Amino acid sequence: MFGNLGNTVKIKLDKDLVARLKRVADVAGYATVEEFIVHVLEREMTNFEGTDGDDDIRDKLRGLGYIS
Amino acid sequence: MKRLLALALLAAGCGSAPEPPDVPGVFVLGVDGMDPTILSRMAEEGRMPAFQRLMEEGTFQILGTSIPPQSPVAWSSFITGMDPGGHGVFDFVHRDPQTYMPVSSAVRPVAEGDEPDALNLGPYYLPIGGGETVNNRGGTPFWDYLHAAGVDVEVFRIPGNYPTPESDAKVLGGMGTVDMRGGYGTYTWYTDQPLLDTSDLKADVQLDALRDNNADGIPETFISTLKGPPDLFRLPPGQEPGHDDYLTSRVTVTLDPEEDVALVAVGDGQALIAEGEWSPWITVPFEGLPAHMADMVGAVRFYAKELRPKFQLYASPVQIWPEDPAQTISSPAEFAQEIHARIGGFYTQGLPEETNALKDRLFDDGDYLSQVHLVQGETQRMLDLALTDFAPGDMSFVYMSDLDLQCHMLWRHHDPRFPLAPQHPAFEPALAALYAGEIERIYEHVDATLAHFRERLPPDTLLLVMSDHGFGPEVRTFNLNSWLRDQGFLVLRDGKRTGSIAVGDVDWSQTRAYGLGFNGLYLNLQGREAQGIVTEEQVAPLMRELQRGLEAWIDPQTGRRGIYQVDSTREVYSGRRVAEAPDLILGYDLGYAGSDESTLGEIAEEVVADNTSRWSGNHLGAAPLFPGVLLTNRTLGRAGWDLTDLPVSILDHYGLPPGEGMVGESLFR
Repeated sequence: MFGNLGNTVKIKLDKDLVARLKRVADVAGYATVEEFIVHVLEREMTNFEGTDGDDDIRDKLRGLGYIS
Repeated sequence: MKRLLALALLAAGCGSAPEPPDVPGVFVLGVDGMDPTILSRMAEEGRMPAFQRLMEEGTFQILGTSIPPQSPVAWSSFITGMDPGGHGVFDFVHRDPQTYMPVSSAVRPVAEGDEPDALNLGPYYLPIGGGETVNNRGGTPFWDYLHAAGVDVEVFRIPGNYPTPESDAKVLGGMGTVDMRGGYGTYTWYTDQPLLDTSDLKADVQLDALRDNNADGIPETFISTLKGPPDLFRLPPGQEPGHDDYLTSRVTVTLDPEEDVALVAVGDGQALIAEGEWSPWITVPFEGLPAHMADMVGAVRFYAKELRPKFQLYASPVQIWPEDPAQTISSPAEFAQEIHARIGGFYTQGLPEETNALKDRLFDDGDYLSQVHLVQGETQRMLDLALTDFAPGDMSFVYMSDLDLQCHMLWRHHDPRFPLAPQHPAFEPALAALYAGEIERIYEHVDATLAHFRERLPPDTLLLVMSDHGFGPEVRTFNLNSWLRDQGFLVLRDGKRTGSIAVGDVDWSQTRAYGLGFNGLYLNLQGREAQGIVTEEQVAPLMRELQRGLEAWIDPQTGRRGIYQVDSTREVYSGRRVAEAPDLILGYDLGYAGSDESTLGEIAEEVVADNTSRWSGNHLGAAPLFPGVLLTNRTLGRAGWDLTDLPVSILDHYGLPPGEGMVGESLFR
């Protein structure tokens, strides 16, 4: 599935998916479809990795109103 | 002997009910945040006649609060008769000494080896045990002793009772009880108006265009979803739900072509609401597993902020529905259902007043107060229910939350404790013109409530009206971790000046102290913290150095001290759980409070800043500056009582000794 190219890897994607990605990337103003894919993946990764590491307690305190 | 008897009865659990003591009943009205200075002034002005009468017939005193005067800490002291060193609730926020991460003080950390487990069946995870959430509060609630002695007990909306501890007494939890999403209140905002920045909102924003479904050229239909509970059957055990990991229900809103009226349909029901109106409760089933094998019912209220030309519709956080609670919110579990059957639907979320939409500036004060009035109506119905059930010899407690939250949110318009105070940094002139007197109006509402229910109490009832703490302005916010950095107690990696404990910015090999929670300061103690460097011999001199430095700190902008006193928990706490406490508790002076950043273990650039949030009143300061109130229809022999004395006094009224670990004394001795 992955091919290694130095600091980058190749990932095989379905051609139809790539075509759809390219359409959206063009509309959204990305220079290349690769740039768009990297942006989407990085954004998604923040959902899993988190940025603050304390989101649960932060949400709870915000729910109570005690922090903004 | 009596004490042993009470404990034996408690241990016997559901054995044959003992004969209750033949004494008058006790009715307690808990008014969160009622301040003695404001109450005294308004009583003198003749604006609190029911309170004035109670003062004249009995006793009015200040009531000592907990250190620190935070609601979960204070109410835990009221419930258990212990100081925080006994009940183990020190702040809204605790920390895990192994990771330095902030954790909620409401829930006991899951023990190693007891992590949640589940059976993986295709796309589903079926829970098979472990990871049980347990209330972190130690000690035994006074109502358990009363129930064991045969006293009929009803407790409504007591803070800090979620997760619900097992008890045979009838107790409905309040502050700390979660919504269906498992948080303390996420509302939904349906709109066709793009918002500039939604990242800081406490809302689930659903942005879409109105559709022209009937092809008459005028868009009239908004179709969206409402998020319910986390989709736990599809989440691996222990994993926090992400943005899309919630069960949903479809929401359809149809606007009337001529009038500012909308038909909102969701789940089982629908409601017709005009602009500026609230819907009744609408129940919403969420399907956890196929074929309705694990349905969970929530409930929601909608508010039509604006229908045209802008479409702005609010949906409340989805409530655990008391008729069919998806989680236990009362003891016994059926008590919530019983209340629902008798008074109808109600907010089960701990602090239901919608402060977040107001802070997010999607509500204005008028929208907010219209929702507060809904909550007040529910509280009134609950109070009437408590009075209907109240028979001679019973013990009832009813909690009122609205005064506390209005003081938090509306202090910016007018300071009712210090009426000549300068304008608050979050002052909004146009809104202040309308709402400057609102806090005092809510005091008057509490007075009317007292007048109403005193008429219905049996005349010899022991009446206690009390609050957990007082109130004051929050004008400036103090970044404790920034001060610790500037004084060399806390060191960041790589020469940074700002950062966060949570993301690993702190160099623990050089850090001697750090702040977490609204008032807590911890030493980086060897043998306790994972990377502790402070030895036991260094503790006393380091604590003195920190206390002296903090108490001497002067705000460069105001020239005032910001910290009234710093308490060592080793000196002011007693009980089995002192070792879990922060080492020092910061008692802020009037006008000051800990910043959001320091509460979560972040290090900001500046040590102090203006508080420009609409959350403008506060009580998270020094305990002597924020006492609560104590009123009773009995004459007390002396003053100087505090929260831990009340449960001991109630037990004493029934001829029962203090419970194990209680440190309070009886008002009546």
